[in-house]
Amino acid sequence: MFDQLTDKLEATFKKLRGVGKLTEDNIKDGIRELKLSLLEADVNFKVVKELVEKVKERALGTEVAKSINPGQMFIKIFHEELVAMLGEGDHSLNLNVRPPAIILMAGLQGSGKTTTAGKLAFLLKNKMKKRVLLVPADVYRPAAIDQLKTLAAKIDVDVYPSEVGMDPVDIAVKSVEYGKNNVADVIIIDTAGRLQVDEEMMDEIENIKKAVEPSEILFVADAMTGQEAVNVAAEFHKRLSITGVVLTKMDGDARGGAALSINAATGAPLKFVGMGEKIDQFEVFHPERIAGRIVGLGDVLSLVEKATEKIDAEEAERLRKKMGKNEFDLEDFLAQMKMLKNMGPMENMLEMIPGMGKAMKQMEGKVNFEKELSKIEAMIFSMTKEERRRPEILNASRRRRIANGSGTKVQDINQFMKQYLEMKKMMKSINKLGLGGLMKKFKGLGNLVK
Amino acid sequence: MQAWIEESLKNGELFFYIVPVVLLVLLLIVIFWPDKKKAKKEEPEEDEIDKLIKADKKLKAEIEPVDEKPEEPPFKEVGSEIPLFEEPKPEPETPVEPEPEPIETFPETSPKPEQSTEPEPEKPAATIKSGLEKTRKGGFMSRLIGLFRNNVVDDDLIEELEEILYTADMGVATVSWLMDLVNKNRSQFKSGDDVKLFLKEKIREVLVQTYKPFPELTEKPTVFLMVGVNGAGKTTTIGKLAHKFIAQGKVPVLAAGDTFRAAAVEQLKVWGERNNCTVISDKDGADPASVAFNAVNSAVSKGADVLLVDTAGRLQNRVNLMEELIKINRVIGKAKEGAPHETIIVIDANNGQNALTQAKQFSEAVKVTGIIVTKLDGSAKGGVLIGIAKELGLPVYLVGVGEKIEDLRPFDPNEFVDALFE
Repeated sequence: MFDQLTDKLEATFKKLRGVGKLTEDNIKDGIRELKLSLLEADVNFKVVKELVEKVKERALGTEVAKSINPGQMFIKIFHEELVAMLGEGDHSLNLNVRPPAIILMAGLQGSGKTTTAGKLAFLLKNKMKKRVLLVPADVYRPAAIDQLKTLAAKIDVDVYPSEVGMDPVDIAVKSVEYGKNNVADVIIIDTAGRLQVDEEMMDEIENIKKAVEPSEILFVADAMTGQEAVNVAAEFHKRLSITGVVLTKMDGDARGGAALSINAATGAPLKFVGMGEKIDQFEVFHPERIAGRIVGLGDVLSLVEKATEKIDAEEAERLRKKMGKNEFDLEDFLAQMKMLKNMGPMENMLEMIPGMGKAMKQMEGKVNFEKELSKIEAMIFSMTKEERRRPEILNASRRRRIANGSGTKVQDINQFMKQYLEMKKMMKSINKLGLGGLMKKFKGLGNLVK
Repeated sequence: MQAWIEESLKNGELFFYIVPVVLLVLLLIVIFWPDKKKAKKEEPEEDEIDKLIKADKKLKAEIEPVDEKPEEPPFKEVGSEIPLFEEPKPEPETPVEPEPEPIETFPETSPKPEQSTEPEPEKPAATIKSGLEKTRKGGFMSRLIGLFRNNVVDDDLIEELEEILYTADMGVATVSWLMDLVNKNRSQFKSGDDVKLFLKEKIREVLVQTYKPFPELTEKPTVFLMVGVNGAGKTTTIGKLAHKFIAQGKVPVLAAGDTFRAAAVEQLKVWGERNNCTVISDKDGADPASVAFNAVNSAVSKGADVLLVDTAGRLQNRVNLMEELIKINRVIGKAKEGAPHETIIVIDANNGQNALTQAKQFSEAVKVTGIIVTKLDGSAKGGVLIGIAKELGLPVYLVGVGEKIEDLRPFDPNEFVDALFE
């Protein structure tokens, strides 16, 4: 998202080392950087002005703790503002009504309502063990009904048999009956995309709302949306009183400033983010995490959550022990890579790691991670068991053989080994500290921030 | 770690980026794993952030071993000087020569000289006017004073203008470029309207320079490859384009190259039925390149005038998907020399600055020849197109202005510029 913001702010504030207090004068440049970064991230102009004003107000007169620099202080304040802003409200899905709970999806064309409906159904079914009914109510876009039916079949969820000639309000009303008869816990109504300036279509969705009284009205918005996010969201909110927001296509490289704009315009909490084209690439929104990502602290918690979901705990434990004894060989490296592959696209994960956002930007479009992973895999596969366990025995002729076997060059092998050794060295130094020591170090550092 | 990675980057060893990353991920998992359950129980809220801050600091300390030299910010600052746009000559277009008559720089739309004394010649753009109300509060008197002081461009006006430009999605680079021009020519402006006209003219120049009408069908079939991110409106646009060609008496063939999204093939087939034209398709999940290849061959054998190849929406940062697109493009070229003759990127007018990245990255992957902007009938202004035109020189061929099949119109720079300020 706002990857470079932290770097920019740090650079701006570097001049200010040793400043004891933040003043109008010494934060001027920082404020400007913040403003431009937010604008470049597509946060609405007015929202930027307000947010920057708030940060400025809080920053002024703040004593800078001796141990940190003014830039970090400023970033901390900004981070807290973001968390406060994004964190307001209930981010969970309200299903505490007499079943079936009804969820209505609304948004512009192409924002990803249908895909989101499918993902949401999948999440409710798999994680919350709900019986879901999907209702296609987009009778306008060609094959929109088919699209939802196909998705429903794929995830084995019940779908209301809508047809093109039907009236959307009618579909919604009847689907509720249908849902009751089929003991559905949750009914998700997918609607056609509509522009907020289209009176007729806005009336239609208002009528659907009145007819079925959903417990959740989710406004689905594209993370790439620009300045108009404010007006679009405000109008949908005025008509429907939306209860939550879903931000889609967050796996792209858009800065996602729309999240802030929509929040400012509606006050409705962000509930989910779409992270990819696959049905399970859908995450519950965590304000602290996104705020952390915005100011460049990374999103380690999401990463860990993903890891615990996809990785075999025993395997992780085994690898950890090996690491502890500094016995991490290429076999383990291979296992580790396999684990990573299961966790989804590399790019997504990297962005969650603190400080990686910047590096990712430079990599953009230059590296095909999947391809490189398989290249390294090929190298390791071309080694004998003995070589994998004791890579130090790799002499020139062995390396040549491996290069031939894996379709790589000897230089590639050399570099790989060099990096592998560096990696071991690093692990050793970490082991010396021990996990406890590592955590202590964190704590020590944490005190500096407070 | 990061320094390490950056070094590998510099040495061109991109390939080995993967090794440190694998380790880093492992490290993080190992470090945070045991704490996870505890953390869940305790609901630490505030603590999590602090932990993150700590983790970040720890990593940073590790990554950059306290090396104090002020590292160069790896990114150009989005400050006042934005070298984003290549300006061939330092200031080639000093827009308003310091000559007494500023009128010459505002052809067409420029008001006549008497405008400075006339109280209020009503101009079309309503918003800027109300926006400028403030600066004109005193009406005639203040304008008179302004005239003497030659200082119409005050901070209020700058702020109002910036707001208009930014909220039209022009982005920092374009807005800074325009505002710099305004500042350089401050003394030329006699009223807020002058500034507005000046801005309009500058923007118009950019769009006119890259302007190209929708291409003629020179080959039989002329092959159009449609690309863009998810939800931009590629399939719908193809349906509308087919209608347009049929109205011109041409024979179009459609290729259902989006084999990924559920029911995308059906969607295109419906458009085929509506237009009564052939749709070449394969089953869901089929190789889109082979669909495209077959489509070219069958369009040739059918003697079609134009082939419109649909593709799955893809976010430009997904390397694999972009490679797939490159393959589709290459395979089309194998089926017919010189094809695709036009590669059109479809851009949603609601998009913000990411549209520029889209245009850039897609252009790097395949040779994009033009843009079709969709959903311009909403409230979004599509100001990012100016940056795209300026930086990439891509022409906007058509704009989508509604859901009806005929709602696809030629792009008119004048109309577009006027709408920006409405």
